Amino acid sequence: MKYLLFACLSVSVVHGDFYKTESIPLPEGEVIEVGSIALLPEKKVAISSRRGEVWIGEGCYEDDLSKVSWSRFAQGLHEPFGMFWKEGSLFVQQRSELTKVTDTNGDGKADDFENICDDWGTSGDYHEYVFGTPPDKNGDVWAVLCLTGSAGTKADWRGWAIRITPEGEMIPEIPGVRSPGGIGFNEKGDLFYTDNQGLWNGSSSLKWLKPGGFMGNPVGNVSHVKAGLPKPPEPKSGSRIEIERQKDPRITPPAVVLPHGKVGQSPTAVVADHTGGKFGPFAGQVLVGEQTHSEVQRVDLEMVNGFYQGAVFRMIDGYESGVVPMKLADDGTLFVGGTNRGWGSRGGQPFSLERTRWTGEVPFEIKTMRVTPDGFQLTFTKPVDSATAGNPASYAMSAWTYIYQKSYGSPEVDQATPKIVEATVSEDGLGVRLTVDGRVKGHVHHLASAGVKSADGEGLVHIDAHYTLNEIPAAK
Amino acid sequence: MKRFFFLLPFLLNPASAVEDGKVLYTQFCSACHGTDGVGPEGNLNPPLAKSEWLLGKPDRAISAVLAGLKGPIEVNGRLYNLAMPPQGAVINDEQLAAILTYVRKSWGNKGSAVKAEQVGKVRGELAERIEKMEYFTADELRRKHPIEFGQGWPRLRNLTSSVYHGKWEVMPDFSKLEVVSVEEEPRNLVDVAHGNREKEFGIVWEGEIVTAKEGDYNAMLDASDGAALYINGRKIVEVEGVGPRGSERARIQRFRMLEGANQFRLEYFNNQGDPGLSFQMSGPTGKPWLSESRLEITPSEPAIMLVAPEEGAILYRNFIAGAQPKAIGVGLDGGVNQAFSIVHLGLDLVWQGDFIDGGKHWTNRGTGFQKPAGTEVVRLLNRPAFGRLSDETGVEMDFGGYSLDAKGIPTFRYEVAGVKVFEKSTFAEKSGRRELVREIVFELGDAVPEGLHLALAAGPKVEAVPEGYLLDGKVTLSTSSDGGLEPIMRGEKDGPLVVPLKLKAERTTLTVTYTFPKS
Repeated sequence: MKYLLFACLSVSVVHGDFYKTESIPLPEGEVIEVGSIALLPEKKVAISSRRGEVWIGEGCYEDDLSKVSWSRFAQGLHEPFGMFWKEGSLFVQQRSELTKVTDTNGDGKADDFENICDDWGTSGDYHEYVFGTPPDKNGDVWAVLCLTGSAGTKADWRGWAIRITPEGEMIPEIPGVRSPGGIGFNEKGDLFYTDNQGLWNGSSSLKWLKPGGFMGNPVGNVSHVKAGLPKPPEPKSGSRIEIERQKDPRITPPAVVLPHGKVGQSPTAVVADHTGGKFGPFAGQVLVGEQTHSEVQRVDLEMVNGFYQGAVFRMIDGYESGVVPMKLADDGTLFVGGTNRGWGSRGGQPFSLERTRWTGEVPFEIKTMRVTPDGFQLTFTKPVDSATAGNPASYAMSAWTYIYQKSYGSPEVDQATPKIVEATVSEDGLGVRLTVDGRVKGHVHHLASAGVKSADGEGLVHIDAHYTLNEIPAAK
Repeated sequence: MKRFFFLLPFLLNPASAVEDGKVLYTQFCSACHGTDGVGPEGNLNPPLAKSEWLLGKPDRAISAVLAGLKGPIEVNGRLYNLAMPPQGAVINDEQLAAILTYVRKSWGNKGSAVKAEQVGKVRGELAERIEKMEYFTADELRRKHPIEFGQGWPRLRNLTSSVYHGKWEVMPDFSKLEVVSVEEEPRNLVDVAHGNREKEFGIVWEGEIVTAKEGDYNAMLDASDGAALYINGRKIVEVEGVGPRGSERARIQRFRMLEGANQFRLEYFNNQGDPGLSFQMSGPTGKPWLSESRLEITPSEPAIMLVAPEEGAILYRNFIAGAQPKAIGVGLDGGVNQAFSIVHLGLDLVWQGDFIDGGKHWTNRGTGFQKPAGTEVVRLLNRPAFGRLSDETGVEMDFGGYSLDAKGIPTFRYEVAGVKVFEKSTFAEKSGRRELVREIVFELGDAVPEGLHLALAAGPKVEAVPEGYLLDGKVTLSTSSDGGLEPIMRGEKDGPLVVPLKLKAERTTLTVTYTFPKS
């Protein structure tokens, strides 16, 4: 059945001239608080709602969004936060089950709901959210299981990342999770999730689900006995991640801290830009949703001494509701779902579906920030003005970390002021090598590049970068 | 130059403190509470603009921010029910002082500036609480730091309490009872402690409620057990029957009062359990607390009733009270409903009438278990449906999923000890009584399982009646089978009612009919 669209005109917001965000109309009278998005063949888009419905839309890629049509594919699911299309079925990550949902008779409505896996516990607590991935390179699906009430464990495997094989076997893999907001892969296929500020999380961050690692929150450790797994680490409260991980190398530091209040408050979706440049000059980087601030942010990752680390940059703001799920299509269309029920967001709408596309105009931005033995290497999206970019006074750096503790959040502590002593512009004008004295291992390093101009005299669209320095490479 | 530096701190205070507070407020608070102290329309986070919780002595507001605040709170005539995590570990004394100074001087708020020392003092007092992450509730905060009684707020006067002894399930007619004691209440506050009894008593308070102006007022009432409010002889709101406070039993009602003295009467009884009563009024001139005891009100969510399509079914997968957390509610057109348990592999609940109200789970964060919306709710299972006669636990069970027919009615499929099971429930009506007709098909695998049985009722009171078995005195269960399957009572009385699965054919059908009383 096709539904008539509501009459309101779609709203379109252009961010600078670089990214254009448009509101995709949803069926009139329906409450679709978007929890997950799946891209289907024939340019169809599926969205799941927190009320447990799945809708399939056509026309979401077209220029004229007023012609978008929706049909309800399924109802009666438990608050899904993960969904993908595989071999003619939608796989839906429900609260307590991964379900293969199929339209067997081709009438456009799901009529079969096969339980693939439901081996983890659900106590009935509203906060036991479950976020799931599409299949990884081996065909396995991953899910992160929020703690009970985001602070306890009243059911099996709360606070763990689990892996589900195509045969439906559940393998608990990585403990230490607190309150995830999304999970996904980087371009290389390694697994990341966002975890929110709270107990044992001084700030929200993007965490690498390192095989054999521990994500930092010991509350869910108890489940290990259920599968005879080794006892996970028991870190000391009031310490620092950097100190505790020296004692137990399973403790994996956050790949990129998203400094609470400064960069965001509730990170969500994790999406790799695999489009090879169709979504702007940041191919290969990771996009992170931000629920409270209604934003999309960008993370440039690198691996140093066996650990992921990198920098976060603000990217696109002004979404209508709290950004939760995102999917990036091959053509460079980013679909962004919104809901703010239960939690506030800057975008005041209760729910939304939007799409963002790159206009083709290149913003003047720091494209990457990478660590070097004696400082940081920056690359820019456009050639820089060598006078300003080569002047250390165009940059300022500060650094801090957080208390690693069992109480809620942490102030910024152990402040330091690393000094930029030299800034050397590369021959092509696209790179600047910063020599920095006084970096601190384990700290977030805030680089503000207020004085840097492009060769055309533009200032940076976003001057701030926050780099998490877990490891420092040795000089060669 | 020297002089400039000398002047700077002076110039910064207090104007710049407010300015810094604005920046910090935007960073830490505005996402939830709005840059305007209110936020978008329908904001689920309470407003800070014109909120009396923030004004007066600052300790109340400081405490809430440092230690966190959760649970129901009434602000500017609306109930909110979210949690604000403690921010004490994130925001330091100077920052919080700046934020609260800004908040207390913005958006029409007229409060004094807050100093970092005041924040530090409260932080010291609350150190243990902050460490243990014990959030404040609104009620606790109010008791610790009372909200100043405003001029012109409605208040009680000439209050008396009359105590009665007796055990009631519903509000008795006090006029027909003998009063045990009558006392004046000089503080003019309602207090159940004045019953001087832990259980089996009632109190009637009478007096006047005085208002500064005519207008619409809200009365909030919550009690364990029953309470009823009368104004000017008219019943305004009642918490009916027996049950705890802090649940869905709490009531809010809007009504009109005249300027000056209005006749006030509040009736209350306690059957068993801790006595308690919460009573609050709010209106155009303020919102005093008129009871001594705790407020634990659950705000009422809007009703979002789920209705099955014609001749079809609607599914609800969420937390249903009385069922396992992993359960699927199925509402059938005609008005019979079930909660199929994925853990028990059977029906946890059956009921008739309305299916379920989605409002509880689809409003705010959706906490708790939702009760079935209809009547004659029977909880059928307190354990898995399948067991062996010899060993109640050793059965392998696997939920396979469900398919939907053209009308959307599900057939659940699962496997038990190698037997494939399919079950589908449909609506029927017989002699004006609704029936849930549950057809269970067993398909044998390689071997016939030994001693397998299916529990149809484990938990409810089971009584043999001519038509079959009466469950909890509400629903009649009867069975038929093409393979001779029949239920037996395993216990001497009250069940459990089980069907030994003596499966002989490759395929055996058991039909279980649940017949509801006329509604």
